[in-house]
Amino acid sequence: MFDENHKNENDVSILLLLFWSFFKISLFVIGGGLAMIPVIRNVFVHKYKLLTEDDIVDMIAVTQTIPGLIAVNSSIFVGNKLAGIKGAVVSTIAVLIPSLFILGIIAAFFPLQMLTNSHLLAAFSGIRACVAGIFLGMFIQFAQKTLKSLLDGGIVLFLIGLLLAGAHVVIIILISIILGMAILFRDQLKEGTYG
Amino acid sequence: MVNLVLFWQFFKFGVLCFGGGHMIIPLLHAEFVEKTAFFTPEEFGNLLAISQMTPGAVSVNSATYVGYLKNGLSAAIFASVGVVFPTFILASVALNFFKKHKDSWYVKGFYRGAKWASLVMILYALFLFANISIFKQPIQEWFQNADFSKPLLNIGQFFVMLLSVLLYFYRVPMIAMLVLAALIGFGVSFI
Repeated sequence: MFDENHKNENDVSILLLLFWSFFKISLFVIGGGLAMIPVIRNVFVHKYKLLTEDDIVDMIAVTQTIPGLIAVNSSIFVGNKLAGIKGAVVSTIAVLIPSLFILGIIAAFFPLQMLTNSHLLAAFSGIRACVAGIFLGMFIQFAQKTLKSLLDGGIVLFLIGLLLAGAHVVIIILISIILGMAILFRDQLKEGTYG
Repeated sequence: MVNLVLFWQFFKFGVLCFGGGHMIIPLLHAEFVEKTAFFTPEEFGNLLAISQMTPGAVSVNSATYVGYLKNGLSAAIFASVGVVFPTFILASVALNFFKKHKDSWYVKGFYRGAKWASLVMILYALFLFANISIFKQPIQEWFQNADFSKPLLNIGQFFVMLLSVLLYFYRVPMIAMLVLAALIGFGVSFI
């Protein structure tokens, strides 16, 4: 099912690195799978330089198109890219373990009322605002890279319009992908390279 | 037996999570509040707060929590593996397909469209987090029915967001940013 001849498949150090990285990401990132995306980019693109910015762009689109959990989809994408099926399994397990521990401790020991303290809620609201800021920064960076022509700008504006009009995320992704295929098809016909 | 039932339930939730783990919330509500009344609406609200406030994936967190309450650690493991399992199979098959057909026009076209889509998805993620922090009303609703008489922004959180963008471009470590943001949010709530 996976690429069997992956070059890092039997490299134990890359598996350990994947496990440790995803364990830490899952242990510290508050806000679910979406909030993990900028951290994954930070760790694997900037810190270890194992992935490129283009890989992250692909990861965002792929993980949100495939039904399922973004945290798990992303860990599988990165794990598979770096170390085949073993990498995917190791990364997914690493994402699961912190949740089991933390929620187990909370379920066993902490009364739920504690979490409705208004000052504590405000602290978490601050964290969410910070995550929003990180995404705004990422949006600015990615926009500079992605928007290279008037066509790019027009399509992205159109998609943002759909988002603001309340269209479902999956619909927006599908429209974008169909447009991508149509434009590639047109270009190939123009160049006469099709078939 | 309880464990296997939980595994199967969360497996189904995992299949139906289109667009990310937070989509599990309405599914959980339908099953554990409306159908079986395992949780009261208040308890369910607490469950949501916990699974969103604690680190990790929202869906795995809620699966673990429900599992623990049902039948302890073993059930927690069954439920969280159950919710992950369909994603694992689907993602593996899809990624393998993309790899095999990477030179075809449809996969190339997919990646071309993916570049625009991922930009819009980053904006979507931004809205999702902004709607539950800096905006008093979801921004999509505001765009459809703008009301200028009421304030739209929580000033403290808006300040945190602007500061975060700045720190992001100066490459301040994210964990430091998050701690600072929590402290500011905490401090502002006393004013």
